[in-house]
Amino acid sequence: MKEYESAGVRAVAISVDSPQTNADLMKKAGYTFTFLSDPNTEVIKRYDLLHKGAGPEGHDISRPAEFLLDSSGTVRWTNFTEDIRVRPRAEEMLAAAKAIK
Amino acid sequence: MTDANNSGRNWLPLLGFLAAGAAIGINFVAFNMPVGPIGVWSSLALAVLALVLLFLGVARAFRTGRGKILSSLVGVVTLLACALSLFGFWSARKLPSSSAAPQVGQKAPDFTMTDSTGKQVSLVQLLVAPLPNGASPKATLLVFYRGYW
Repeated sequence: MKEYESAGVRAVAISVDSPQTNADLMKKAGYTFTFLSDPNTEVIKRYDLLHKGAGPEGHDISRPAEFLLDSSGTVRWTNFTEDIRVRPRAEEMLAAAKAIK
Repeated sequence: MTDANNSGRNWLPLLGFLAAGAAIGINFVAFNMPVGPIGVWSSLALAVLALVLLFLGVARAFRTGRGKILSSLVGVVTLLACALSLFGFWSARKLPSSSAAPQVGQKAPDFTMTDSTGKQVSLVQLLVAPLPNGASPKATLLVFYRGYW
């Protein structure tokens, strides 16, 4: 995470989890980046990432996806995994961040 | 088949069972932490290997007439294990198409959400607010994830 910060990248994690769940996770895992809650999947739908019924007890959740935005909010890099067991490598993302002036 | 092949114990069903167990093990780990493409595909390869070993082993048991019941029992368990592993493989890849998601070059839709301290935070704020080290951010990485439960 320090590596992201020194590359000038702000990491923001987004899921359906409540602020309390996020606070507990951050404390437990020692994460310092921003965690945002989208319990009603409003933003997840806006980004077309809704994975219907894939959560516990058939709840709708977000599929895994990453977007790297420049300071104007324009998308510069994306990653949509085809398999929830395969997640992106930090190096790939950092390389994309370095390409932004 | 030569006599050499027909002598000794028939290890093929057991090997198949072990391969199926390994395939399930990889899947179990993979659903909890990233294993990368190699781990994912090796779970599929192991399940297929398990089925091949099972088939050869059971065929051999029936040909030699030895261990028919035992190899069949191991075979049923192995089949179930393979089915579970293949189901895991399939369900991990069953993802929505997300064809309308923001693409490279497009503006990311704005949002306002609650952070872990209960504060309302907008994307516009995140794009420009100083980082913890005081520097202004060059980029913002949005990581959508399935959730921690």
